[in-house]
Amino acid sequence: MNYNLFKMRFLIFAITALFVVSCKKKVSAPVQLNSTKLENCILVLNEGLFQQNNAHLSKISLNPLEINNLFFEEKTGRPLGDTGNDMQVYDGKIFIVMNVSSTLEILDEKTGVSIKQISMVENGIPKQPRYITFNANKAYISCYDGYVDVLDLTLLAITNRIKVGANPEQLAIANDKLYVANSGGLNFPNVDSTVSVVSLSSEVETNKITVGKNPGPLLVDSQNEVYVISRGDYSSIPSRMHRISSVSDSKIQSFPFEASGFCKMKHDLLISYVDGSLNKILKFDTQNESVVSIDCIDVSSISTFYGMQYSTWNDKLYFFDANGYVNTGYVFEYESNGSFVRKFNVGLIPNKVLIYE
Amino acid sequence: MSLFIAFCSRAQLREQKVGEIAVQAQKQNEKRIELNSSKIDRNIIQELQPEDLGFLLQKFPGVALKSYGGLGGLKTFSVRSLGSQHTATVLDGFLLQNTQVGQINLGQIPTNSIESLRLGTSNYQVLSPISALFRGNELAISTFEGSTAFNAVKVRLSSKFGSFGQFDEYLALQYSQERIGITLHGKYRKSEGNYPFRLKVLNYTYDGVQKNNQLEELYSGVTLFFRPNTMKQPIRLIYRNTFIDQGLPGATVLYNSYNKQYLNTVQHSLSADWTDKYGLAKVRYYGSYQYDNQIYTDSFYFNQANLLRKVYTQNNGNLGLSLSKNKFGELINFYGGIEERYAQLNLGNQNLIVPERWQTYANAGLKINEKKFLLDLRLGYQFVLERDSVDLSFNQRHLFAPVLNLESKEIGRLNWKMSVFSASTSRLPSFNELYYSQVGNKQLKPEEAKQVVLSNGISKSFKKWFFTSKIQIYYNHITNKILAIPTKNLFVWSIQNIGTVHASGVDFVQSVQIQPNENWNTTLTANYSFQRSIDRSSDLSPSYGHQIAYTPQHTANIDLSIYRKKTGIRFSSIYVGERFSLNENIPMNLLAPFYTFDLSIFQRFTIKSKHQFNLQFQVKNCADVSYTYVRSFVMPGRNYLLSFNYEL
Repeated sequence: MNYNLFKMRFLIFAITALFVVSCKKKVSAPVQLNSTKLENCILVLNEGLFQQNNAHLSKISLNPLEINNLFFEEKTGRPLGDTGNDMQVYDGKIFIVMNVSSTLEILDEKTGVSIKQISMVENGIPKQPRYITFNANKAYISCYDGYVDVLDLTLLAITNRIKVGANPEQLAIANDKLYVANSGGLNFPNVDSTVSVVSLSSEVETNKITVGKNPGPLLVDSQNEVYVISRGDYSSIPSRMHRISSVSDSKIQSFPFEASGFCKMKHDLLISYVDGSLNKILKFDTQNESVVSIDCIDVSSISTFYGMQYSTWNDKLYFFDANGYVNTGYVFEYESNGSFVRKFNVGLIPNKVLIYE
Repeated sequence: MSLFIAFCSRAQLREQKVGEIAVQAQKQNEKRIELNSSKIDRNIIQELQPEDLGFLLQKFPGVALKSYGGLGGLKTFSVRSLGSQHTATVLDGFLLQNTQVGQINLGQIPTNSIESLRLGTSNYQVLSPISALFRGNELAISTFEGSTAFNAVKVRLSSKFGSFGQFDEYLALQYSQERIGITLHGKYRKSEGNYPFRLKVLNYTYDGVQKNNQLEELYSGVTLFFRPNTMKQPIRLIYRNTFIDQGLPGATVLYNSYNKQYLNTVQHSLSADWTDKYGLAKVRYYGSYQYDNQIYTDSFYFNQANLLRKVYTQNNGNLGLSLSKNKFGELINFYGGIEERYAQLNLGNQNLIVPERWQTYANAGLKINEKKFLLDLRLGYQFVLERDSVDLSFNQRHLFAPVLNLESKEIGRLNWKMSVFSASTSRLPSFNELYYSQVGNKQLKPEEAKQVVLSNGISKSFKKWFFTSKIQIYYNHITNKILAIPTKNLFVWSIQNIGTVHASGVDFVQSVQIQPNENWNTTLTANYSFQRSIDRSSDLSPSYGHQIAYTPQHTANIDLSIYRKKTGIRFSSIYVGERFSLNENIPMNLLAPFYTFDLSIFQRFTIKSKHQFNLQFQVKNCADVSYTYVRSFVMPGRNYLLSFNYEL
């Protein structure tokens, strides 16, 4: 064969081969969305791991028992995203705060169908939303860039940004004011120590209350008093719980026990703390500000304690087991009197539940 | 160009012609199968045109690569489930060291100048530093800059233009007389790196363009070599420097494509060695110093300064000697050596702790080179002193590394060989694992690895073709595996010796070369590896008995090159089987298997029998496959590369 002719054929063959293989494109199969009404089930937000896009919403059907870790994907036709930080229900909608994806997912409470995804990006900078709370027709979302975003629930759009302290975490409303725990965690070890007070009418920070280093968990009790936990430096500065008056906007008490996290159960607070290497639950009466029990619920079977939640819907307690953070976690269900009911194996790092009767 | 060629022609006076001789020598070498290592030489590297060393390593059996992106992206690897810290990376006879993280970023080792690459179980050679014998495996890189040829003028030039704004220029000049020589080299590479991708998350796809992936690199250096009257071997002095500015695209996060992390790397290294003979003894003296400075910045960081800036500075140095002496001809060979190593890490103003480490290595070995077998026994002892600038008391460690290798000589017509290799080695915790912020744990013990490898190989040369075939069965037992685990809560993690892994598997390597006549030459190479690496850390863990993360059970690659005279085509493919992003083997952690292939067309031509040119066009990832090695770290789709090489 003529050498040049061979080269030409060789080249044509190679180029043709490239085009043949390159025409093949994979397209994902269309997803059948369903709007079945949610009932007799539990929705669990699984936080997932940083930068792994593996946050999931699990649906635990209770009768018969069935666990579907891809509930969000099946309802919306797309993944939830990265690091699900908070999930709350308000005004017939489920709000899921996605921290690393910087989105707010809004779903229909009855069906779980997506209503809207709001991108939490400001001038090309992801705001890293953390927690959400509600009042009247507005939602307030703490963002790690030092602001609280105001979401109009009619427009489903961000209408204002309120400047607060560094790296705000949990937030709650009392006496028509918004209280925001400013952790300053990204300035570690020079963390923040304050709680911002924001006027809901003017949407402006009006005061800052110094509590203790690295405040994070925050809630309001049945008497409109604000409780906040300062987490210290996880080493020599211990964590503490503080009580704030929403009338005087001042810290009125710091409690001399360690506190990692808490949740409200009727008039009590359940406070988790670490005793040696064991997690324990302390019951605290908010009406007379006293400790009821320092070890009220046995949670020793939880391998990696990651929080708790009380449901007023069914008067049950839910404890979250992150199971080493790199394994699928568990949701433990307890009666409010502290007796264990059952546990459910869900996704990675469960941190919130919603109960459907 | 013509002026340049004319200059080189005049200057090259006494160098031997190597063309056909090299080909014949190569054939001879390929007949002699190496059981405990595999090698890739320059011709193949040139055909593959890899973007970095990470890509090349996939061509070795038993290697699992972790690539965090395309050009410039971090690349690490494990060999038969031994993490990359168990492999000594030796560049031109000098150990590359990164005491901070313990592993070498293969993405920062250029491939333009690599003459050969050898990966295998650690084995004494005169040019290996003693410290390399304490690791389970050794990756030996030989470069043009490290070579010494007297009475010669050599030139290496390569120029590449590729997709995503890739531009790569490399030039090296070697000029030598009878007793002295110099090599100058420089490389500049730039890439915009903004490649489109399709990320699959479960059954859903996410399309985007990789952002903040720009890269600019400058490598340069000089090598001096001279041969005093009394010495037969030259003294080498090699200086290298590296400057890299790059964006860090990070993981692809769904719905958030914004990213502002950057890394600036500066490295300087100075190495020297010489080998001399004293009667029947051969001694190599060597020493090196390596300075690394890395600055990491994140301008999306929500602290007071709205900027995270971290500076890491490392100083590493070593001095050593290795010697080898034959007795009774070549029947018995004694070898051994000593080496002293120093490493220091400085974290600038972020952390007052400045860790330091002194390592003393001593090794003694015996090789019995019988007619029918080769027995190699050695014992290494390592004494380690560590301290930090806050706690000035020394932490001492004593480590031993016994190694046995028994290898038969070629038997029968098929040149059958077999060997048994057994080693007990360890890797020290990195400075990050020991001291990093609140995570580090100064009480960490070394991670220990025991390996047993049984190898079998045959090779046969016929008139017009020859083949080699090798199979290796291995068992690795890794204890005290160093892992980060949370202790009190998500904020308080600690590094602990908690892992145990049992790894077993098989590697197959097949190669066939057919040369029906002087015009045609075809080579087919295929590797397949099966790895079963089981987590045996704690039977309470849900991942107990599961395949460990990022370890595919099946990996394979097939390469085919066809030459007709000086025109050729190469098909190169890689298959990485399914694996898990976390140790728990559940569908949510599953990473899809992928198969990619590249196609190259090249034309070589020679002017005046000295000036060799190679023009090559390559399509990488021809099928435009969307894939990731590491969860959420997307790799480039189909891309193109045009390259030109000149060699004198």
